[in-house]
Amino acid sequence: MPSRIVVRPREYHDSVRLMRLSQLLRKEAGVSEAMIMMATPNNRKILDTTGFCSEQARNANPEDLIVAVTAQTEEEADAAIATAIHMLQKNMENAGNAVQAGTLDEAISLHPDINFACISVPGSFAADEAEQALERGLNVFLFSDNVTIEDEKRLKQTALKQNRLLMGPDCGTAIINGAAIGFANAVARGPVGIVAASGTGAQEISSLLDWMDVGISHIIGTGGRDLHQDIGGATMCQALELMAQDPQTDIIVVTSKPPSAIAQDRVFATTARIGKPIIFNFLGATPPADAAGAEFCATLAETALATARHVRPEATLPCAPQADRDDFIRNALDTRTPVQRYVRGLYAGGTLCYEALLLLGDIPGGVYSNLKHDSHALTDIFTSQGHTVIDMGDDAYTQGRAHPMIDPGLRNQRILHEAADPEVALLLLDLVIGYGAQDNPARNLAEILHTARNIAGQDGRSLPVIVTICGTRHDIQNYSDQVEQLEQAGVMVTRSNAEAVTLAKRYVEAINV
Amino acid sequence: MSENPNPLLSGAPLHIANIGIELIGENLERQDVKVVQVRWLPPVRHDAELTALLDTLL
Repeated sequence: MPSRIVVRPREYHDSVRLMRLSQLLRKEAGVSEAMIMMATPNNRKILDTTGFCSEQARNANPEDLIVAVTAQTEEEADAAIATAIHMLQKNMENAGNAVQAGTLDEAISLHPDINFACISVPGSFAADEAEQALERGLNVFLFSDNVTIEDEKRLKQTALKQNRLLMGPDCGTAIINGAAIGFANAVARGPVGIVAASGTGAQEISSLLDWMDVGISHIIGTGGRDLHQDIGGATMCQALELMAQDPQTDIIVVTSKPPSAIAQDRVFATTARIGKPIIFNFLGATPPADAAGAEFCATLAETALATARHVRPEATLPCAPQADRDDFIRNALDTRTPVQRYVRGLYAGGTLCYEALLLLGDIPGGVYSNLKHDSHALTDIFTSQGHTVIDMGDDAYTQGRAHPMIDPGLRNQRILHEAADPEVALLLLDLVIGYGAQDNPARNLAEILHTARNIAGQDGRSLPVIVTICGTRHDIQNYSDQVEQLEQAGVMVTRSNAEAVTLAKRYVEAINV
Repeated sequence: MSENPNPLLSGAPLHIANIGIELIGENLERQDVKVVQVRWLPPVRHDAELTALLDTLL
C-alpha cells in the first residue's frame, strides 16, 4: 500500500493534540494507518517498527514534526497528507485562540491571584519552566517526565527555600481543595489526606475509599523519584507537614514504592511529629522493626480498607461476587488449549503494574517485566517472554507520545500481538477512568478485545481477559457503563487490582496443577 | 524555610497557569477551576548559519 512521510521542521504541537489528530486522520477515506508525532528517538523507532521507513524521518530532530500515512491508493495517500497539513494549521489557529497569555509573567500580571502552575512541556524544557514558577511563589504540579534527577534535586531545594511544593516531576495525580489535577477520580470530600509518590496508587486508594463512602481532603503527589536517596523525600516531608496542619485532614495515607533508607528515615521523623493516624503503604517493603504504632499495609486495597475502617469500622472492600470469579476460572480452564500457559499483564497504571508483580511474584517461572532489573528484566520491551507484566506508561514507551491512559494506541497494538501468541492463557489489564482519561475507554478496549479474540479464535483458542477498573461512580465516564461494555465483551471485571491479580494467579496455579 | 506560609491547603480557590498540554487545563475548567492557558513553544535552537547570515545582513 502506498505510504507518505512528511517532516515539518521545528513545528511543535503537544502530544495529546497530535494523538487526537492522528485518530481523526485514520478515519479519512482509504487511510489504513496514520501517525502524527514529534520526531523523538522513541517515536522514530515506533515509525520504523510500523514499516514507515524514510531517511528524512530518521534524520529528523526531536523538535521536528512527522506526518506518516498509509492508504489504499496513491491519491488517497496524497489527500490524507493534505488533510493532515490542513488539520495542523487549523490546530495552530485554535491553539492560538485558547492561549490567554504569552508567558507566565504575562499571565501573573493579568491575573495576580494565580497561585498554582501545571507544567507539562517536554522533559528537557520542563525544569526551566518549573523554576520560574517556583521563584514567582507558585506551587507547581510538574506532569512532565524525562527530567534529570539533578534538576529535580535543584528544583526541590528552590521549592523548600520558597516554602512551596514541587509535585513531580512525573507527577500524574493530585486533588487540591477538591480540584482534580492530571489523572484523578471524582471522589467525595472527606477526612483522608493522601501523600503519594505513585499516581495510580493514589487513584486506586482514593477510588476504593469512595466506594466505601469515605472521602478525601487532598491528594498531594510527589513524583515517583521523591523517595530516591538523592531526593530524600523532600516533597513528601513538606506535604506531610501541610497535611498535619490542615484542619480538613484527620487521617493520612502515605503510598509509594519502597523508599530509600535516607528518605524513609526523614519521612518517619516527620510523621512522628504528627498527631494524626498515618497508614503507610510502601509496596513490597517490609515494615521496619522499630516502627511500633505505625500502621503498614501490603496492598493498595488493604490500605484503603484499613483507612476506611478508621472512619467506618463496618467498611468492606467492593469485590466481584464469588460465583462470578468461580465461573470465570471454570470457563477459562474448560476452553484452554494445552499450550496456553502464560499470563500477560499490560498496564497503563505504573503502580498497579508494580503491585501485580508483587502479588504474582512467586508463580512458577517468575514474571518478566520492564520494571525489573534482574534476571527477569525483559530483553526487548516490545516482546513478551513467559509470564510478562509490563507498565506501558513507563518513560521508555511514552517519550514524545501521550500516556496510555490518554492514548491507548500502543497498548492496543500489544493486545493484538499477545492474542496471536498461542502460549498466552490470560490477558490481565487495567482501565483507569476519571479526569484525564479518555471519554469512553471501555468502548475502545472492548473493540480491540473483540479483534483480539477473533485472532485467537482463528487459531482455535479462547482468550480469557481480566480487567480491573480504577474509578468511582462519580467519574465522568460513568462507571456502570464502562463495566457493562466490558462484560458484554466477555471480560471478567474486578473492583480492585489486588482482586484482579489474585484471580489471575489462581488461574495460573490451576493450569500448573 | 522561608517565613512565607504555603497557602496550598488553605481553602483558597486555585487559580492555575497551565503551561503545556491543553487537556489538563480543559479538565480543570470542567470542574470550574480558573485556568489561564500560557503559550509554550520549544526555544529556538542556536543556528550558527542563521546567526552568520543575520550578522551579514545587519
